[in-house]
Amino acid sequence: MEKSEEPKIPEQHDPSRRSFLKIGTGVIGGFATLILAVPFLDALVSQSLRIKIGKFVNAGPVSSISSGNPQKVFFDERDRDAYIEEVERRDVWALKNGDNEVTVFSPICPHLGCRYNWHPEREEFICPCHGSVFAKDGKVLHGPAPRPLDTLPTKIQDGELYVKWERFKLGVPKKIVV
Amino acid sequence: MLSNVQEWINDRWPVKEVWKAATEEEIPGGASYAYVFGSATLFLFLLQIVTGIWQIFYYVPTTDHAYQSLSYLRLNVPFGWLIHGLHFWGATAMIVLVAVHLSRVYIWGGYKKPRELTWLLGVLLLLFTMAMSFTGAALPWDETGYWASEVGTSIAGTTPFLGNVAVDLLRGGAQMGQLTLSRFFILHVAIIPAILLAFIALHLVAFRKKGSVGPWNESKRKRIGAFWPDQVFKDAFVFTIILLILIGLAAFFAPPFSGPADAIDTTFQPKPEWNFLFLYQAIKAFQGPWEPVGTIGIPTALFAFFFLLPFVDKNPERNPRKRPIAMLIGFIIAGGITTLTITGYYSHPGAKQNGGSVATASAKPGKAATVETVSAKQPELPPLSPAQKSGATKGAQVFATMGCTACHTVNGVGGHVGPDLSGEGLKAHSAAWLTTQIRNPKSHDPKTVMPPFTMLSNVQVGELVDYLTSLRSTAAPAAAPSTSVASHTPQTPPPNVRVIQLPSQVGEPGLAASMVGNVGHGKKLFDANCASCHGMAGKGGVANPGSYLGTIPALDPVRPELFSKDPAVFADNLDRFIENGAAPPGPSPQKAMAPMSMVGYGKTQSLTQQEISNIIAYIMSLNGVNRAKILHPGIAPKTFFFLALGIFILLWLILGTMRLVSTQGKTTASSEAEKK
Repeated sequence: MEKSEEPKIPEQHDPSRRSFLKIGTGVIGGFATLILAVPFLDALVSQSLRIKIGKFVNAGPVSSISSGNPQKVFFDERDRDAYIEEVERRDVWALKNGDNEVTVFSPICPHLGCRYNWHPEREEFICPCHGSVFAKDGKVLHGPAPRPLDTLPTKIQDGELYVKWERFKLGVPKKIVV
Repeated sequence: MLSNVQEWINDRWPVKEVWKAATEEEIPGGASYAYVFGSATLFLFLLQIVTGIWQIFYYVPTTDHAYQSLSYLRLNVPFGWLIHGLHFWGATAMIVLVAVHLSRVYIWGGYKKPRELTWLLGVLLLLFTMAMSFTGAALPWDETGYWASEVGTSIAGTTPFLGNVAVDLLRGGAQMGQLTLSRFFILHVAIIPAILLAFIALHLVAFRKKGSVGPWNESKRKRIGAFWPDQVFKDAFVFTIILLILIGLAAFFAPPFSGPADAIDTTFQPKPEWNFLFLYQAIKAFQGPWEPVGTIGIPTALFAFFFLLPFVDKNPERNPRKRPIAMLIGFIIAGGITTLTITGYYSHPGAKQNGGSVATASAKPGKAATVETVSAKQPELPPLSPAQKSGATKGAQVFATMGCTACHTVNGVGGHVGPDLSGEGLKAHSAAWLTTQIRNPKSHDPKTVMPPFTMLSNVQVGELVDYLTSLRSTAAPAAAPSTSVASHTPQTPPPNVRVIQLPSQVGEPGLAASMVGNVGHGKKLFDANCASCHGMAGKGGVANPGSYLGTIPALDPVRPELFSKDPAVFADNLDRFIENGAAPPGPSPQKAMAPMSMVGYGKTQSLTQQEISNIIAYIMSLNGVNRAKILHPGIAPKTFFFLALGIFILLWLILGTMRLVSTQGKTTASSEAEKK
């Protein structure tokens, strides 16, 4: 039905109307984007910043830890990782100082998150990744580690050791729970 | 500087030409709100892409965690409710807008020469949109989606010749399962969207090539409007309204939690997504060998009509008043689909069936009664064999320890919820009848509150049957005072015995604790499995002679040690019991009066984890806690809606005033100029 030869009357192109429509479209579109962008970004950001609160878990009787050298202690914790609930196996280094005193180190090097080891012949903790060396009590002897080994909160009840599993910010001098 | 950059880019990439092609279009008759539906659909599609991508940040397409991951997004992620709600309602809105867009083009005669290809591409887009709706519904792996997919893929299976291959391909095997979910996922998030994007591009190019169809009235066509900015402004205005409606729907009508998919569930009534209801309803009219007519024939005919339309209807006339046949056919199709959709929405085939079975069941007890009176007149029952006698002794123990005494009295001991069984052996119920009654009581009387004792071993049931057959007391059953056993005075427990177990003493919760169940479904399951001991609606009052408490604990309200306002903790506490069972302590039991203990419904697989999650949601709702409570909303849904509404109203007001002021300013300026 289109006949281009027929005369067409273009709509009155009022320049102020045109610019109003352009600005209006931009403003409406901008606000619609903003109303969606804020929540959508928040859905990713706050979720990433959420701190996980640990709870004390029974890590076995204190009597099973031998005095003197640090010892690896394993225990199971029922953990909820987002929507997956599983029993996780935890490992920590425990140093028994007395019948009622145990220091528990997180097994994760405070430098960049590798797992360090106890070298009984040297009586030092050594991280295999970047060569950080820690004393028996966790102090940095040398290497790039910015702070001593992270201790975990513990309590002893009826001869049983309870440990609260936590993770800390890596690579910084201060011990910050994440 | 900026213009230099623009030029530099433009020399290497034709920004200006692309912008021109995208925006420069003359609209015969001027811009109109009648033309917004195509762009509105496109806007919604883009919104679906964004919300879809955001959901995949949290969603996993696995049968064991899809439901939990989506629940996590909706309840634990800030604005997760918004992201999922927009996607859910956006899908519905997209189908509606596609339908309106198609109707608009149909009425305007927009499918006619030279726009046949634009129309055909549009019809294909409708098909792919429906495919998106179908594959998307399965992804939450909830009851609604699971059963809609089960039935939907089965429909494909009724296609003659290729049906079986088609259904196996869709499902990734003969049965619904992980591979089905994987296939639906990849179709929904990658393959079909890619096809949609390609066809949208083709559709738009074809549309731009031949332009807007405009009014059919020649005189109205003389005025020419511009797509940019006239039409785009109208489009943008409509987008904001659609967006507000979607936010409102997400805030006030959150998609339901229909419970995790449960393949053995028989209480759920599967229904397809609303946009497939017309097909679902049409299929019911064709049965037996005619079924493929409904399942395959109708949709094929419908799409064949749409495809052939531009080639059959070649008359260039576009005025609807002069196209009575086209309008009549259009009206019949639209009316037919609407009517079928509405009847499909309100049809409850399951409910009807239930009513039917209740009717036949109400006839059954009568029959049973006649059998009983007849047998009562025949006192010569076969004597018990020695094997039966020893079975009966063991059966008495099972009877006492598995909870039977709570409801049934034998020789004056026990509860009165169920019939007195002292003379059961005289009723001449066959061993098979008794076995069925124990295993599946509802098969004899659908209204019974007796729970199915599926956790008993075959040997235990055999012993119980022997015991019941041995009960031949002719003494008239004692009158049943409703509180006789409930009023049995509980004995005081020794000081070091807890009357009730703490959740931590029972055992670990099962998977059910992490799934958000459906309250309505949970109520049905509770009535069938739990109410006989915990009382209807968990009100308690059922006797547990032999336990220190004297009664089975009520669940409304639950004991304060179990309660928590945190839905996850509350669900955990409840599930520890349902998963592992519980044994209330009681005074040193005489044989017949050991305290009745609760079986571990999860551990013994008497109930599926999905069923348990629904029961948990129901028990929590009795205690005023919503299992599906949004824990981290970001901004509360209703507040967010009003915030968005406020922002847009303010925006519209500002734009309106701006426009008024500028036009008034101009008129006064021009009148002043005239004066001069």
